[in-house]
Amino acid sequence: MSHHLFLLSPSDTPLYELTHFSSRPVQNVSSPLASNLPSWSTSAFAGTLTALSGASSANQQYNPQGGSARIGGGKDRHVIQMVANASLDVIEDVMRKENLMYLKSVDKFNEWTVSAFVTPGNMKFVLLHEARNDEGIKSFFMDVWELYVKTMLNPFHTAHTPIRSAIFDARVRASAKKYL
Amino acid sequence: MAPSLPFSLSPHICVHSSPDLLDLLDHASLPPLPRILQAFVPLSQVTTRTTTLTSVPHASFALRFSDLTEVESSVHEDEEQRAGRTLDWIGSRIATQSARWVEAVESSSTRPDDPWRNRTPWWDEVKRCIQGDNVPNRVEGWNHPVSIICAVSTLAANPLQALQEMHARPPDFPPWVDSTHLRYSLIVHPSNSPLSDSIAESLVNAVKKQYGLHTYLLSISLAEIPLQQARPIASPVPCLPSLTTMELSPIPTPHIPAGIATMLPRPTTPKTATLTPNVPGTPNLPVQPNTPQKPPPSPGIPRTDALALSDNDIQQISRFVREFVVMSVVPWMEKCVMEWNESYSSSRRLPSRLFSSTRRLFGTGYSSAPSSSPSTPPTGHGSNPSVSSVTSRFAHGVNNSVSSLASITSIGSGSTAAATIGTVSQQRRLAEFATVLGDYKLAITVWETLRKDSKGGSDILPLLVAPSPALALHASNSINALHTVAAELPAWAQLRALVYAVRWDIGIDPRELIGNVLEGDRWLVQASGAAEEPPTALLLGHAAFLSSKKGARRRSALWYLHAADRLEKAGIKPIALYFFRQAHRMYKTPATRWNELSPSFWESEGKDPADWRGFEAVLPGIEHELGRLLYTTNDTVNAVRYFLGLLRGTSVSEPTPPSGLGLTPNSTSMDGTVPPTDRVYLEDFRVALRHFRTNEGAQWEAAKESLQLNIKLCQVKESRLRLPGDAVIGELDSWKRLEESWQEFWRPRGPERLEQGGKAAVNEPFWFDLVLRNPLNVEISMSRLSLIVREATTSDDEAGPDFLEVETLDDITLGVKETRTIPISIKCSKPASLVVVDATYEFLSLLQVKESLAIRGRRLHDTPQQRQNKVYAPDILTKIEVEDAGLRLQAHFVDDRHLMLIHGERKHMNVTLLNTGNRPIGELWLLTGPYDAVWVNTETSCSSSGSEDSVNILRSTNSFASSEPFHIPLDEEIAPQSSLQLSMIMHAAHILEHDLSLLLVFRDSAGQAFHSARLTRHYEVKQTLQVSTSYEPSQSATKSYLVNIDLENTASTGEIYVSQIMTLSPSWSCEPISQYLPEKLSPRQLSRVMLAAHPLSRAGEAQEVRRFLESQLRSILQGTPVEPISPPVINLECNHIYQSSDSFSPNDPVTRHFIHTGRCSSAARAAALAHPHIPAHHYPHIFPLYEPSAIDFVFFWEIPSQSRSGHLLVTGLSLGASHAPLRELVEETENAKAARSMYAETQRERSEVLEAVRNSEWNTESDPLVMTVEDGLIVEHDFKQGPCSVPVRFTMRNQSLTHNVHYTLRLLNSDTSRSEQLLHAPQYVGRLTHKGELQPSQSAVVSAKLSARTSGGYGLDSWKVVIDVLEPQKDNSQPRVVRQRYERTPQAGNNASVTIVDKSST
Repeated sequence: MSHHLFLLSPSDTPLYELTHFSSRPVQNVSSPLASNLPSWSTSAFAGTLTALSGASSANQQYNPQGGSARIGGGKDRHVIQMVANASLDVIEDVMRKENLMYLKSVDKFNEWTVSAFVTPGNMKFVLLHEARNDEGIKSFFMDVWELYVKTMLNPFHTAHTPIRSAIFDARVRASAKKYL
Repeated sequence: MAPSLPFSLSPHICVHSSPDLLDLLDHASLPPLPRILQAFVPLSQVTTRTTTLTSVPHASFALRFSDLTEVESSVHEDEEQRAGRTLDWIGSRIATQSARWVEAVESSSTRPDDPWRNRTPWWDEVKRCIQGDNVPNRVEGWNHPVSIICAVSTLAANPLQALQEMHARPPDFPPWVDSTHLRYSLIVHPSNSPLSDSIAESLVNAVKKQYGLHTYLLSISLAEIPLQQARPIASPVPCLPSLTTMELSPIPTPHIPAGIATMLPRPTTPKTATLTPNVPGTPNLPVQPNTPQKPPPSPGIPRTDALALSDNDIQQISRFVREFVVMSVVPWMEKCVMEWNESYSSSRRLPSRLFSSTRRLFGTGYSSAPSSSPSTPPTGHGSNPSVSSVTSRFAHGVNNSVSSLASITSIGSGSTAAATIGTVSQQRRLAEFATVLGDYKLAITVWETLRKDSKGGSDILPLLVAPSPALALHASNSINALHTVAAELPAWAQLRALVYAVRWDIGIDPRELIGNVLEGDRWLVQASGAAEEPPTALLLGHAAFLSSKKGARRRSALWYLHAADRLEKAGIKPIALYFFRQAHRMYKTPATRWNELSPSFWESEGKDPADWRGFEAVLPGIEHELGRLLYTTNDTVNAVRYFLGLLRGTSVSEPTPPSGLGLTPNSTSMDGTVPPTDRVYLEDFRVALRHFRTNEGAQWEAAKESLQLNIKLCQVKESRLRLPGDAVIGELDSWKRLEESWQEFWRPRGPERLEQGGKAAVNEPFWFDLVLRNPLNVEISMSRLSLIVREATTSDDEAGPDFLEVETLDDITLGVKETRTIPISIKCSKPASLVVVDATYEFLSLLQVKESLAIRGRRLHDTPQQRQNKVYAPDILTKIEVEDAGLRLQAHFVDDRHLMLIHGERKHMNVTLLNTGNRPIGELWLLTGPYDAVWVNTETSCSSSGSEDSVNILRSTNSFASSEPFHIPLDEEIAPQSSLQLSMIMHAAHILEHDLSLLLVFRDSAGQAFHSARLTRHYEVKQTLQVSTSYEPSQSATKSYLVNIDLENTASTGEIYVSQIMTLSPSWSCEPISQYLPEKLSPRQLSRVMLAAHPLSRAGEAQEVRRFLESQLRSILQGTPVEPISPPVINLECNHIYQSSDSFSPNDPVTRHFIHTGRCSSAARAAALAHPHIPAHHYPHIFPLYEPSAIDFVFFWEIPSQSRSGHLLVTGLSLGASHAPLRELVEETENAKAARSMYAETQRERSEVLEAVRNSEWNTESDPLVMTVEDGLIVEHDFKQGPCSVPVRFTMRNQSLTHNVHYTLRLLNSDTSRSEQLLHAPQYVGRLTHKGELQPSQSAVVSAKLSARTSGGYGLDSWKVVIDVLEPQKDNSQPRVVRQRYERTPQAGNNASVTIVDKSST
């Protein structure tokens, strides 16, 4: 079971992205639709995508007990990024309606549920996940927010600067391991 | 307002035509009867009644007519097979026309009246195909016939008989088809009928008598009319062609996978026109000839899309259709609704509690309730004799035809979902009829009931109910009901989902459908599921289309991408390409919501919103697919363009690392593999480009100019021009400093300037060192690498001048991320001013690339305009002047090997100077770096060694001003092409690696401008002889200090001979103490030399030096200008500690030069370290070279085995006490009422300068008095004679060279002995306080008496001395002023003692 985290600047440019492979067992999936749908692409075309992202190896390596191994399916990097990008439309709508930072699950694309968190500075944290885990994700987002604010304390860090700090990365990973 | 129902939800009427009628129509060149009738619907102004008898007017009442035999033959086909066939059929219809459609859509996209703004042709086609389906199925009753028209003509031999046979024949439907329908009899009476009108009338009456009132006599003339007057009718709704009898097998065909299905031979695909009959204003696409959907009965007669009927006939038929609808169908349906509603509401009236408990107890389905109602016979729900007498009579029980059995097949056995949805119940028919009749109130109630019982209805409710969020749930429910089957979705489920989606798309207002409440685009995506058939892909594409209309461009991009993926797999490339392009466009166009961001968001960081890139993997992902697809569709040029765009690479400065941001904290992704995208892209590009070049020559010629590489390989800022003999290694700054120091030196001597160096000569090659960097993650190759060089005066577009030769290089391969410098030689055959403009090469030996070598000019800030906008100075190009080889000198070392020296080594080097110009050189100077220790052997330099001073005195300028350039005297001019050997000695004064940079300045004769040549040498110095020095005050009365020198040979091999040790000091002289002096140091051997130091009486010189320093420092501290004067000259005492036969004299010019340079270097470094705030150019005018009390050591060494020799200068030792000579100056500055600066920085800097002065080596302060006690004295005494009196001597020495010292020694008598030493406490007798004054370097002895009563050891540590440093006294009358006062008691480690032995006891 994998999670994909994106930290997006107000101009929707990713400043940080993380793929986290959770070792927790997959919880019962809420919708029978999602479980029954086969993955996006399974034929020749998927081969290119897999080659493009090297996702299948990661999938096999980090998803030992993940049940059905979806080689290349839904794990392609650019498809994942497209899903995160597509969810921004809904996130912006929800942002207008709700005055909250944690927007919970805002959207769903096949097996991917998208949860979002919007900071007061209009940074968007987008998490693609498969199972429901609202509380855990909320705690995770709060952690990431704190880490992000600490990063932003750096006077040389702007809203356009990609986050390359190894410490930030390590702490986000630790938090992901804890909550996701 | 009543919703407009889709066409497919209208009543389905089956027409059973007798053979004579078919013949009649055929002869009249008319289409079959159902098509003729279809042309007369929809009807306007039809009014229906609801169950509450409210009239519902219908503006347009649609009906569907079809041929009974066709429906009968189709209905027996396995539903799964039929669904699969339908999907394939739609796919093939789309595939054949996709290219034309895409062309039409793209060509009209820019027009203001774009007909495809709100729809797409492919989706229209899908809708038409889905709408055209009229074959009944198990799931729903829409296609179950409402009425069957038995049509005969009066041409038949016995029309009554024919009608009777037709009525007698039950329709060949499977048992699940609802048999509740209206039987209608139609007698067509053409004018050429053998029966007269009256007989026809009587025939009708007979029929009415037999079959009820639902009978009509249609009299038509069928007169021949010209084809032009024929009334055109819309082309038929496309219908799935039926299987041939061969294909119609009782055994169900296995389910064919989606991918293979497209490859199988298909049924005849009709190339029908694409115009939708119901949509007015359809764009006029070229209409293709209509091919028949089933084999025409007589192939000779062409089918027309026109009704060749006279107006009268048309009126007749129109009247019939209206009468049929208004008089028969609608009343019959109303009646059905009334009756069924009765049974429905009666069942509803029962308490639901009872029903639920019954269900719980017996587990029976709710559907059995209405069917078991007594009013309905079990065989058919609606076979009520009052409704249709015929149906009851001919109600078929068990249909045992083979074909109807076949229809049970896969759905009955395989799909439980279909079974639960089950056969069409009466309630469902009720709901459908009510919907058709416009009784929505009833319809919604019944549909809701059905929905609650999971019997369908969720799909229809969204069409009827007002928009609300609940509708989305209905939609997803209806889709989910299809998805309950696990694994692969069967074709029928895919088709059902598609049907639902089509109904929603047609039946719901588009604005509401895509509105925020319904979000209908998501419904379509849900309906498309994961199926990969072309129709579902188009469904997804339509969802994307709706999303883009709604403004959700990003979501639209995702769905377009998925739709394109699926279409590509299905082989419909034109639409796939179009979808990919749409996805690309949707992703790339920035969302309008960015307008909500403040403009400052971009401006604050100097970013341009146009540079937005977003997710970095998305665009390459789409573009790569586009490129591949274009390549496979033979659009090579555009494919090449896309592939070219993918080669972006990453530069070091780019914010986005190559493979994901968080994934690559250490430049490797989490799983350790960098995605090999660049390799794939490059390989695709190479293949496509090669194909393009070889196979499409003409296009290649046209396009090659526009194919531009996105990446830049040339690193312009790192590339540079290199001249022969030019120092590559040396820093540019160091050359600039040397040139400046020459100008500084020559300025007072003459007006001649130094010509700018760095000009190339005619016919002499020079090089452009081009730095290339491969930004890709894959190895690349290039060929024909060259430069474009032009004259500075010519314009850009002129070709390279013919007097230039530029080298061309082939076969260059750059590894992954490799950076390489490639020299390209240039030769010019006449003087010119050249500009290096571009680099050219062939990328992969295929694509000609030209890269500019210009560097952007600096940003301008001069005017407000420039400050507010980004304005840059003109681009900077590399320029080179080529001049006539007039005055040119090439210099190089004779021995050019790598130079490895030992610390302190003197290296003799020879330099060859070659005049390569064509004029003689008459004057030559050599400049070295400020503290480079280089000596040029010339006759004058050697002869100047004569010294007037004695061998032990070295006179120093005492200034570390940098040395002047060496003037190299020339006996005669260096003629052109002749050379000169120059011998020089270099001293390796510092360890580690260094560059020796020498600037040769020359001219042909006096009065001319100078030219320069550069010479550089890299060398490495390692340490072999390590020296450390230390000192301590001497205990002896004759010596002031003892100096220890530790010499260590740190090398692992080789012996070092130390041939001579020389000490240099203005105030101290040294002499060896020990007799043994080390001559040879073996590897790893340590040796120690001890010297005794005596002060010299040169206080005057020292005072002068100190006064100079103080006055100069005062200028600095008080902020007044520093006078550019040099320190007073100083004499250094040289002591040769160890002298071999060939000793070095300090006045040997080479030695003196090197000692001076070495001292300058270390003094300058110390000054720079201690006083960083004082400008460096002031140092020579402030700090003297030698601190008066300093003492330097020079060790001369040899390593005979390696024939190396040299000397090591050790500085940094100061002897003697000093008394903070700058204290007054510091205090004065501190207390001065200095004007405070308004800047805190300045204030802080001032205090730091003062602090540096306070702590400098010139302001040290130490206790000058050295007191020693005579230690270890052993006295024998006979205590029987009384107490012993032992004399104790305290030696006092004033180590100060400048001040007198007054001391007060108090001897303390204490009773407590120091237990830890087991010594007795001394008891002094006589004078206990001793006072005295000592001149500088003077010593005195104080004698005291110790009285001992017992034998034993007596510690001499109970005393206290107070030392006053006295200011020099100018006048005896004035009291002495104490400069410093120190108090001292014995130190903890001091255990001087006297031992008294009792003689009496022995």
